[in-house]
Amino acid sequence: MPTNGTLGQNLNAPSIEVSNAQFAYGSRPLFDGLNLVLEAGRWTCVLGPSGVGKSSLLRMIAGLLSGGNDTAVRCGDGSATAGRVAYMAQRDFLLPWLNVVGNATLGARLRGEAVDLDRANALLQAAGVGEAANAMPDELSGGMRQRVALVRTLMEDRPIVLMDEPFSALDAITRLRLQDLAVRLLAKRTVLLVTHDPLEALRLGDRIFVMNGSPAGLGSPLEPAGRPPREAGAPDVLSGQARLLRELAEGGK
Amino acid sequence: MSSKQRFATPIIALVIFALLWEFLVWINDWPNYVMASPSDLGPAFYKFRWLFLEFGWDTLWRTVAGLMLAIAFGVVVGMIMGFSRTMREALYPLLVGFNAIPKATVVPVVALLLVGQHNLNTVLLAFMISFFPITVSISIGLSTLEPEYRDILLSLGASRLTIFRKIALPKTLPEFFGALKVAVTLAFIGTNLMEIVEPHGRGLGHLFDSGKISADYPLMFAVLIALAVMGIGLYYVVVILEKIFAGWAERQES
Repeated sequence: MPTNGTLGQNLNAPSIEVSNAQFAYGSRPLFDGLNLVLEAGRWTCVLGPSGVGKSSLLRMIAGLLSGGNDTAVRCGDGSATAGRVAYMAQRDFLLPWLNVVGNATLGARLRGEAVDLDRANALLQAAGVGEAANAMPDELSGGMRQRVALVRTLMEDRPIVLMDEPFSALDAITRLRLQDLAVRLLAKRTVLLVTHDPLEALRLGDRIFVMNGSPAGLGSPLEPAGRPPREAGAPDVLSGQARLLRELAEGGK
Repeated sequence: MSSKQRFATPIIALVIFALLWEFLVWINDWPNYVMASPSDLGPAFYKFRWLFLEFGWDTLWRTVAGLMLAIAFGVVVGMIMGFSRTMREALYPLLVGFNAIPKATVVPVVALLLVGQHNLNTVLLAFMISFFPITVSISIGLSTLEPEYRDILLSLGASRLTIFRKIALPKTLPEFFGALKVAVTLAFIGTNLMEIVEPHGRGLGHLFDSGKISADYPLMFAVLIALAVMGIGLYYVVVILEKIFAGWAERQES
């Protein structure tokens, strides 16, 4: 199996600093004056209930949503985030008229660049969908489709990866497998994972923030022991779940 | 289903239909000036074969021209409505209202406005009756494109124009072809409305009208059958185009 060294080419993953993030949905402020640091080359998880503004925060960092006047998103190495961010959503959004390889290499196709087929095939192999390279999306299971979406994200070889509940539509076992796969393939990148699943955050996160309240704020981070992906039954994961659920519940009052 | 069966099934259905029709006329002992039977159609076709060819061509090209116009108009207006909520809210009542008007009442208006322009008038009527489903399908297809699609594609470095051209438009193709199948048959109605209500000596509608004047019921029914056959033919042209351009949307038979 190819190592990450051959698949990830230019990985000088920077840290990201979000300061004074501000966003209102209509007249209702979702968050205001929110600060968040994503440490370089590590997984940061933001855990929160639906509608709290997690996705908006993530889209703001991705540059898909503009914040308030004082809002700033900076990379730790001083350069801009533009062109260095990959984005992955809850649904795979594969194009139904392209086969697996076509979808995996969609970025290059849309930009009119040469397609690196060797790299695509190596990544598909690493993601466990190498056999399905010529299949159409509607011939695949939900888990396989999301693997292809993960490969599409990795093909971009961006040092920063933002993921918006990418595994929440999958069944429990498939979800665990894809979490392991993501940790392996996204090693050394700066990752932000937004989720509403405490177990997922605890398995994957180097640092876990709970996002709560209205307007929403971030608590102090939880930093579980051990390297991701952690075992679902590890002591820190189990005790962490109790704490995270309590924090989530407190914010809901 | 094998390809032999796929062809045989509709043909058997047609034969059964013709037999039932023949039987109905025979059992009621209807004379030819009340109701024609399938066995009268052959002689009628043969007797007027050159007229059928000539007028059938008139009707066909006018219908296709009207459809082309409807597609061009429907795609442009559907795009405007698909992207702008304001335009959607502004144009929907107008379109629905216009579509609700019986097109037979539009015939004299058009015929007076563009007096003597029979070809143009007929094409216009085919257009007017068939653009609505196309417009609605494009508008719905575009306005229901998930915003996350746009997010993902923007983050892949695609320009908005590329997203529109390579993603948004292809994604509306299944809806578009669904609407086109409806529009094809509607367009024939439009063409014949003009040819029958405002007779000008061209098209199958005119042949129908002359059948009526001379109480030649077999001829009238033969015209109807010819129209049905042309409608079916054009419908399958759309089906083939759909297979080529939107075959990916077809569910696997399992």
